Amino acid sequence: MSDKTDVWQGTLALMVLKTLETMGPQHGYGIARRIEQTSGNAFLLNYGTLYPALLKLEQEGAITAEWGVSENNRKAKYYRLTRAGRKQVERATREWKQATAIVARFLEPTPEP
Amino acid sequence: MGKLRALWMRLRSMFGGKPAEAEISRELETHLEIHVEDNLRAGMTPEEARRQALIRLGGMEQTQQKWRERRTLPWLETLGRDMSFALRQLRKSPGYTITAVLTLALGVGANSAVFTVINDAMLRSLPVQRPDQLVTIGYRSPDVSRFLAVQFWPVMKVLQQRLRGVSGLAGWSGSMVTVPDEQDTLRSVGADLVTGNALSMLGVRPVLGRLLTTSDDVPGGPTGGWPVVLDYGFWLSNFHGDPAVVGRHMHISGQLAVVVGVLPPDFHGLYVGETQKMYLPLHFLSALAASSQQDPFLHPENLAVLAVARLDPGITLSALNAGLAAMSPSLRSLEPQRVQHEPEFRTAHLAAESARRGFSEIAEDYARPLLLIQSIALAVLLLCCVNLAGLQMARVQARRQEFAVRSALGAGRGRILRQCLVESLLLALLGAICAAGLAWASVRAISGFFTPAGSAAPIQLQPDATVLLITGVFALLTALLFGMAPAWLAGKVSPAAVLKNRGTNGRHHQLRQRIFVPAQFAIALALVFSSGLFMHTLVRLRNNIEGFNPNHVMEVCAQFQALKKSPDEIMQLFHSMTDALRSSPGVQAASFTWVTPLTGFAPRLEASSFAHAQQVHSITWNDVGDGYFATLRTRILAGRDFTRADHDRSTCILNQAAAGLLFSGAQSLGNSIKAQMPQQDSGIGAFTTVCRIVGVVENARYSSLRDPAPPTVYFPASASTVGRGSYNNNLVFFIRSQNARDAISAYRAALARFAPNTGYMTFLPLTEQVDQSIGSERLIARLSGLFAAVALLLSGIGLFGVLAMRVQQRQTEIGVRLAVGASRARILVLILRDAISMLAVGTLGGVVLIAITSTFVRRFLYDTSPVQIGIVLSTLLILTAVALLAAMLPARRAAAMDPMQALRSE
Repeated sequence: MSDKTDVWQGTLALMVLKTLETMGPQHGYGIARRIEQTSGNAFLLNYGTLYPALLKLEQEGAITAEWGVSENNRKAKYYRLTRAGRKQVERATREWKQATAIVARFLEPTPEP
Repeated sequence: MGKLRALWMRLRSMFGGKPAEAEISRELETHLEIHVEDNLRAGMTPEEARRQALIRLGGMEQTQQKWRERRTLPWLETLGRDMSFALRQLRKSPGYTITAVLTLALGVGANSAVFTVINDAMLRSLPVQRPDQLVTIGYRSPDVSRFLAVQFWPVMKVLQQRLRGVSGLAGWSGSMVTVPDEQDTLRSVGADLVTGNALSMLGVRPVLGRLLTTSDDVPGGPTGGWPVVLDYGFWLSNFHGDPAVVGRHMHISGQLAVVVGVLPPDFHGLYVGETQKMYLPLHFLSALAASSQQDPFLHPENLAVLAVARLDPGITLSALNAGLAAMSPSLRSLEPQRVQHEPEFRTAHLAAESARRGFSEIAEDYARPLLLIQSIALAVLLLCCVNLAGLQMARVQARRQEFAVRSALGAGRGRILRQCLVESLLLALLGAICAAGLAWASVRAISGFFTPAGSAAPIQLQPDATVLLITGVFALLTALLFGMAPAWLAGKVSPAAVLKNRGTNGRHHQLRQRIFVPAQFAIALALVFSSGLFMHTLVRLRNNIEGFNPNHVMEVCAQFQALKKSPDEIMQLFHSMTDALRSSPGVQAASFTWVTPLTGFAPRLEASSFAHAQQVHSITWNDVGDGYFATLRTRILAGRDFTRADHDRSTCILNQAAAGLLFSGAQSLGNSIKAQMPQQDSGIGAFTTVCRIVGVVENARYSSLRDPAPPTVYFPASASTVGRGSYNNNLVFFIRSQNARDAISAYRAALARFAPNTGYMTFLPLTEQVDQSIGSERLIARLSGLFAAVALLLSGIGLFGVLAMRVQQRQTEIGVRLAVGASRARILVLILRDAISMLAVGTLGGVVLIAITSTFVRRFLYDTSPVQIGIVLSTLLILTAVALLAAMLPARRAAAMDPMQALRSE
């Protein structure tokens, strides 16, 4: 049971970081919308789960937050990547690509000798 | 890395919370607003927009809660809350808290104290480098069970060259030396005389200066004085911890010495519990010798040392033993002549034994009594646990309502369990603190029992951090033991039933009544009975002082061997001193002796009467001064005491047993016997004599209070007694006076007059020496009595608790009985019957316990069969009294109940 949540949380964290890398500084709602769109509306049923995840990343030092002004002149909390966060994204992306490559080789039908 | 930072941030967030709360609310509000805007743009109505936004968010309160949980460490917060709650609860019921803490403190404290003593005296390794590598090389013989940790110097020299598998072979010897104290009075202190490599091979690091080296251990000492390394405590007391002590000169037994180093505070030499004050090179023995005859380096066959070495890496003890056994026959010729014929050495061969723990008299003599005490302490701990479990269960019962309400409000079982456990742990913590204090104080008190007879220096056992560690472990185990079961039961309470006041607690209560309280009484019975037996043994031993009166006698050992006088001069000195003592105010009698009673030292010789010359008997002997028997109040049955005219071994006095043995009933007075003393190692010279019997005295206990007085022959002390001048030939003064002070001042005055340059040891009342010889019996009797009292107290409290609850429960029943016409006395009897029935079951259990342990206990008794009617009866009486006392209050409260009140409380 806890394994599933760990993996889930890990994946969500990676998506948040990637989003911030691509989009630059963004507030919570914006990150949530972006993740939803990118994953084809199949992810993030519950926007609320984002906020504890954001707090966790902030505590780990991957992102920082500060209050700013949104498009419609609202006071919103904007998050952006730190240098450590940037490195984490690069490393995670690399590892993920390696993992998928290996798995792909397994799943490919091997030619019979 | 990130994880650590996160943890730190979460910890920090626990202190200071309000601004963050506002932030998350604000953030979520903004989130909703932006979402609502988007929804409006998509064409929804304002209400629909808001509703959809809320649904997609997943609930404001849940999100905030999850966020809060992420922000801090929830479990830590809960723990803190549990602890403050537990603290409040404990404060609200002080009776329960104090009882529980005291019970825990007693049980855990007692065990910690005893275990610390065992650890310190028997288990702890020497505070040196790699103690597991240390071995001692001595002798083992199939005839003698004990390993003989002695090595002869000629053999040692060969071993140093030829023995493989060890390194750093060093020799240890010792002596008393005299040093001036602060007021320049000469004091006798113990010193270890060691080979040059002895300290360095141990790997101790000096706190000041250096250790001894092989170049220090040369005949005559190096130029500039004998190098001496000081013990830490001695440095503090005699030199006030002077940091510039290295290089200072001092006089040791009249020789010039220079301080070269100070040892670390935790090193006390090789002997556990004894602290030598200083360490000198082995060749100092020559400087101490009164004449060249006694110089061990001129007569190496007389020198024996303790040989210690370090095993080389990879060599096992058994391999070393094999090597030594192989070398043994070729080295036999190097052993001193006299030794080769001694019974112990006839079949002995070289052997090695681990020296990891040093050498401990306590370990040898007190191992069994200490284990007995430990078993008793464990039994008391068990009792404490039972008591505490009962207390906890009662408490859980009392809080049924509270648990039911909490359960109904949504507290999970785990939550309630955790809270109960925290309370137990808190009690354990408080109990452990008290226990540690108790243990610390008791260790010092217990080590006082271990002083060997005749020694004025008590064995020092240091309580240290080990005590705390052991206490903590015990407390934790006890807490888990008595906390778990009741806590688990607490979680099982069904809220509905309890809230309707129909919850049954009968099952748990019966557990207490049927098992717990009787078990406590069983243990208490066994302990009270055993301690009765032990006390009986002690009394019998104490009354066993046969043949002399130790009261009002002061003992002091003379240190005249340092004076370079001839034996005749020393003898004259003794006589002058005795005369001076006798004429001092307050002194009723004075004399001196070689062997003091009850130290376990009992030299033997071979004697035969001329009538039966073929029957040679081995009997003990002693050299005594004139007036010895008068001083000790040993009755002279026939003939006379020694006088000054008796100056050699041509006259002798027998005790009754010896007279009976040698002359089998015939008159012994006036006859002569032949006595032969073969050469022995302990500095006693050989002699053969024919002596005329001038007196017969009553039997006196000699080496111990347990053994009957052996046949003994007494000779007048003469020049040959003090001839060899070693420490073993020192005579001891006995001074009888009404007042101890008179004896002390008389001796000091006489010493100042006749032998001003000698040190003196402390004064020891003979009664104290008698007590020291039965140290282990005293220890057992006292501690078992103490533990028995504790056990009784705990059992009484347990009984009281159970009965009080019972009365509470049966309120209705009692009310009905009273209303229907039962007399108050009958109610009293009703309750008391409960108490007696528990006591009866407990007694049965106790008898079984005693039967099981009787073989073990019997070993410690003296001349006592375990079945003593008097002790059995008094044990039962004591237990019944305690039970009735404990039952009195609840019984009286039951009898004094107002029936209307009782019935109405339903």
